[in-house]
Amino acid sequence: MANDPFWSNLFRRRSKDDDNIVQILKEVPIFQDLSQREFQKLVGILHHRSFAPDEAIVREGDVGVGMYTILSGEVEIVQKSLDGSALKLAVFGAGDFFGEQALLDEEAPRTASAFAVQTCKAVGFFRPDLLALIEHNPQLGLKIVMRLSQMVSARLRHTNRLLKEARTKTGDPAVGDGPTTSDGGQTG
Amino acid sequence: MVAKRVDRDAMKQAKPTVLKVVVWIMAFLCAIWFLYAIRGVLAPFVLAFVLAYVLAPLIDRLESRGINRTLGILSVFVVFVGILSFGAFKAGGKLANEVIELSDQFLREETVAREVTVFNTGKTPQTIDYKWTGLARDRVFALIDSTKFPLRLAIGGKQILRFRFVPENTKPAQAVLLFSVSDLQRQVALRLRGNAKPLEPESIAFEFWEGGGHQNELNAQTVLFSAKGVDFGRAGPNIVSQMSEKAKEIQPNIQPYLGTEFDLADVVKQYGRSLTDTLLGGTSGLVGGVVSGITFLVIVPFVAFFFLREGRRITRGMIELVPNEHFELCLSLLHQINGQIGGYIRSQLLAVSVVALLSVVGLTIIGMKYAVPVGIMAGLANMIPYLGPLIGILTGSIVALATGGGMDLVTHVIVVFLFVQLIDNVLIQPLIVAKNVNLHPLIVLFVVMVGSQLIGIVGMLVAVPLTGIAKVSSQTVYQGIKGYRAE
Repeated sequence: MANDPFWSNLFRRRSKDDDNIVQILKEVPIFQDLSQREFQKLVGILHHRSFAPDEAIVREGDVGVGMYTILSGEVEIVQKSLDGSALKLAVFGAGDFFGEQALLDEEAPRTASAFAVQTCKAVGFFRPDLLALIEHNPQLGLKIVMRLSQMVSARLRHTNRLLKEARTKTGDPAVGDGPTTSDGGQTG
Repeated sequence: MVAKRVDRDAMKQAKPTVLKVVVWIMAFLCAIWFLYAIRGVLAPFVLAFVLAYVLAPLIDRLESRGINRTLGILSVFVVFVGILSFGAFKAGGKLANEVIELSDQFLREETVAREVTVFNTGKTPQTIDYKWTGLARDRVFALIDSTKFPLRLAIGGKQILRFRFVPENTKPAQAVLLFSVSDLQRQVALRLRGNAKPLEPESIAFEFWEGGGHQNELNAQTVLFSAKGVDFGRAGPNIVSQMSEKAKEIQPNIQPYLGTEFDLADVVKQYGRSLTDTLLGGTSGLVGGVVSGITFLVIVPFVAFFFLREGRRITRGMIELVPNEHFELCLSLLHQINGQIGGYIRSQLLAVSVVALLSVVGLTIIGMKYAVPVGIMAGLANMIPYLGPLIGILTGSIVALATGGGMDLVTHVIVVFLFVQLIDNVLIQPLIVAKNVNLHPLIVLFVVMVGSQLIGIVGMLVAVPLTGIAKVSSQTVYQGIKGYRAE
């Protein structure tokens, strides 16, 4: 049904664009082990957005609904620090993605803002679409969810390591009750 | 630079834009007006929309089992259409007849007048007189201007005889008038009949221009009647005038309280007539005119097919038009509303079916005529909170009275409906209609009246579900917007 000319003219981008998108999406870890067919299905549910320079893509504090993958242009990730000033965290380019945590969280606020530096094209993949995908095509949905979980798990491991390092530096055992065996001597 | 951008962004968000709000309200009103203007065409689309929501879970499930969506939709349609046409084949004809009969009970003419012309084709003036035969004693037939008899007809003269049929019930009636003509040896019989089966076309043609004899005797006739018999068709007291008759009986008992000016029977007749006209009149215009059977049979499945197959793509195409600033919020709301509407429509439909089925079974058990249409009507009316059950009981009682059931049957009808209501309130509503859309009684009353004003009885029935959908949607939007922006 993806080849129906009438509807594809109305509601879909040209397939040359689709091919480019697939090339970019292949680099996104969440979509890594999808087949060509599954990529076509995925492209069918992504939302194409384009942003003017300085326009906000997501705002810190808003409820996040999904992730964005940048197709072209640059995006600045900005976080408000405790004193209210803006802190530039990173600059992303084509092929980078952000906001994937919102795919798992329900009603959780965004932890940072993203602004387009220049005119920027991106595709959005949102939680309602992921949920629908799980319902209609459980195999594909499960693949994506597995990848997402792996990413979150890897990030958690990374955070744990950072936490451990921080604790080692400050010598404060109350920072957490994670894997503290290596510096257990300090607590005693 | 970054800080400036955040500030400017916040300012843009906070700026109150009265103009924007006004424009949106105008656009909204225009959209409503447009929908009202094209309401006649909307019916198949609304039905297709509902059908798509009903079938969607089934087709989603098939798709998740790896069946191609188009194939899934087609196979579900084939099964669905199969069941429907089997049902139509089995029960549809009977149901249609019952519905036609029942609406005839409401809208029937009470009196019918017909004319017969008598010509003097002879060479001398004629005197004509008449007498009723024994069968006419029930007086349901009358010859208007009977004082003109005995009638004198000059040479070549003609006279129109007018007859009236005023039956007190809908039983078949017939009478014979015997005309004696001065120059004719034998009498000419004119047969009058009403509420009888319509005559076969040939026999009508045979009787036409027959006068007193057969075709070959025609030239010998001196007086010619334009017809040998008169068929008045169906007539009789309709339900409104029956109620009015009942009111006449009650009148003496309550007259002291109402004052002498007040005529209860007249009031019942007037209001009943206008109510019937409003309810059935508007509906038959809508259903009969624009949405003919073909339109329904072809357009509804066709549109539903596209809603089911392309629904996701259509919503995706629409949502892409939303500006970036509101995009995520709109997407999230759209999906929530979609889920809510789907649940609402499916649960309502299930509740309607169960209540209708229970009512039909109950009414059949107590031996009521027209149990199926009345039961279905009660099931549909049940969508209207507070008023719905009342409508069911009223319709049932009126039909029970009209079919000659008497007060006993009415009592039985009320018991059946109370029982159905008990099951509805204890089992169906809590179990099926889980997400109860609580509408205020005043709102229900208002929208039901607006619906009936706009498109008659169909309007009454769809008013409450539509309001329910609107309420569910606006609640979702309100809560979504409230929770979305933290600051």
